[in-house]
Amino acid sequence: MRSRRDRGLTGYVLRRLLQGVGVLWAAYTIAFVVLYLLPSDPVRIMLAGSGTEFANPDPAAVAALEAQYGFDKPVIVQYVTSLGRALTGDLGTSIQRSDEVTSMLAAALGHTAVLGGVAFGLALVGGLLLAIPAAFTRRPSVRQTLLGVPSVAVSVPTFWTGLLLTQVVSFQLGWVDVFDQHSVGALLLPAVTLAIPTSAYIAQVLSKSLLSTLREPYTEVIRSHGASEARIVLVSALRNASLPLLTMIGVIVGNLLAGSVVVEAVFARDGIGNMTFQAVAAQDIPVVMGVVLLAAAIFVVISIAVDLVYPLLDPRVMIREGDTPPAAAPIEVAADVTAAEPEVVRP
Amino acid sequence: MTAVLTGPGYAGSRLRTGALDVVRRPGLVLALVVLVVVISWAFVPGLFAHQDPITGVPADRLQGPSAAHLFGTDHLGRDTFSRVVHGASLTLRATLLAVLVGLAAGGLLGLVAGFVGGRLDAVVMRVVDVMLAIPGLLLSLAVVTALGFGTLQVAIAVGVSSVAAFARVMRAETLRVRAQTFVEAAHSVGSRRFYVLAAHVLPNASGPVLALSALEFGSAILSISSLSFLGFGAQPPAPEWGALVSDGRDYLGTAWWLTTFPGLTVALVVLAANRLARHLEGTRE
Repeated sequence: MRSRRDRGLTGYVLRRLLQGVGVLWAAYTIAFVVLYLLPSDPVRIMLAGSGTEFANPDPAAVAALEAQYGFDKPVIVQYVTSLGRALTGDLGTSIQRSDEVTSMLAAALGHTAVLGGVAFGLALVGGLLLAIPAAFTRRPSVRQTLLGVPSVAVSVPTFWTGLLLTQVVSFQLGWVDVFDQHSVGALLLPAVTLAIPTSAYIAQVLSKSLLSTLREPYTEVIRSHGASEARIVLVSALRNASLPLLTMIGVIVGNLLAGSVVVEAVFARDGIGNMTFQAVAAQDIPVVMGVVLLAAAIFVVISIAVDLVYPLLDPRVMIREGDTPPAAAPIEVAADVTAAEPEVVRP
Repeated sequence: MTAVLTGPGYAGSRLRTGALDVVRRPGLVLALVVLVVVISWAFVPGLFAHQDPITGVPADRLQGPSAAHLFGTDHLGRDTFSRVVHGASLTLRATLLAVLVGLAAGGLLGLVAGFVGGRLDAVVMRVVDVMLAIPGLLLSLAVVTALGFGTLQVAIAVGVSSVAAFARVMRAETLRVRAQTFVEAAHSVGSRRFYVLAAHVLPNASGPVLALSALEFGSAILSISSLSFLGFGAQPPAPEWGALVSDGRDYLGTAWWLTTFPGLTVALVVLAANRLARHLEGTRE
């Protein structure tokens, strides 16, 4: 019985990994179409970047560069050769800095991971602080106010909140030196900036599922057993309500990565975001391509991890043999956990 | 009955319910006021701001907010309020273009995928799923890298990043409408496929897509001003909102008004657009 289930699981993981590779290939193709087929002239950009007058480039230099990067070959040949190189982990060289794209990404990833990790933690705390009181309170006015905060938070541009925070905390109060990259304060300001829209997103997802969980019959059953309201909200309801959030982690991390472009540019911090900003400014196509692929890879890895962890946290969901991998959409967790037999609820 | 309904009593009660709505939903009314004001800025900026947005008065440089300069002045003595008012047209036009690009391309993809079905549908939706896996801002940045810099390029880039969302909603609606009896009836009386698509499916499927457009309007303003802030959009001295915030960065410690007011304008307009979108979504249900 058990071995059969394990075999099903192995098959599922293999299928899921294969599908992940498919998504990465598709992301590569989309990025290739956008970056190489739209009307742009990478060779001209390279010559402009190296200081040569780009108004009138030397035809021989253009031809030499085209041959070096393979731009003189048909598009399909370029696509196949660059895809082949990408499969071996070679994403090409930066036009602007003549460094390997993969080593640039690896060097920058750590900085952004720290920033994104702190921002994620702050966003989680912020989201919980909004969603839990909103579920607790019996006053509609308080609930409306708390639930209204996220819609304000997502409307405020991050570049502006970053500058406002710098202005107030750094220039007027003098608490933090934003230019000292290694101080805790200089990490906290961009992290708070990055966390604001994310916490709004978390609060929205969490309060929606929390309120619907509190309307479930099993909440009433727990209450009738004498559980306090705090126990119901904090232990029983929150545990079930946080499951939809789990399926959103891929999207949240992707948004943190994208948000780091603006935030790292505002605070002049090293990382993937600042690297992306500079690459776009210099129209450094291989680097931009690498960042897009990195984002897609992170999304794929997280969604596979979430799918594998999910059944452990929610025993109602089982991975069966022949299951098709689910989409990354939020899952309605509506089943009654007090039911005697746990059923497979995932379609 | 008709006479009674059109009489003064009926009009009075309508006015009353109208007033009640305002009391009950002050947020929505405020949102509409903000949007109307900003749209008027775009059409007749001269009516709201009398100072020149491009050439300043050097004697008035870096002055704080006052009655003469509501939002203060910048390092060239240009009135910031005037620049915000004149920037409305640029920002809103770019936003409108971005939403239209997303709506047209995504709507068409979703409509065709949902209507034709089969293998085409499967392929289109796979591509849409992959596009949704790439964060919108990164996709926009990739398009900007290829197209180059400028307001038009940024607007197209932001539009491209919303294609997947539009395609997904349009496909779901097309599938819903296609399964209904009147579409089946149209097929059974021998209507051409294209006629059924244009005359029956499209009008009945467009509701949620339009609600999404309102929502995308808000996020497009945010994306466009972010890209302009980074310097990829409108080039100086054009007064685009995100670029205005960026211009004020060098004076953070000394002239707080230069970043505060243009950013506040962006936040208020996005908030208003999102509030309207929520209302449109709510009335449909």
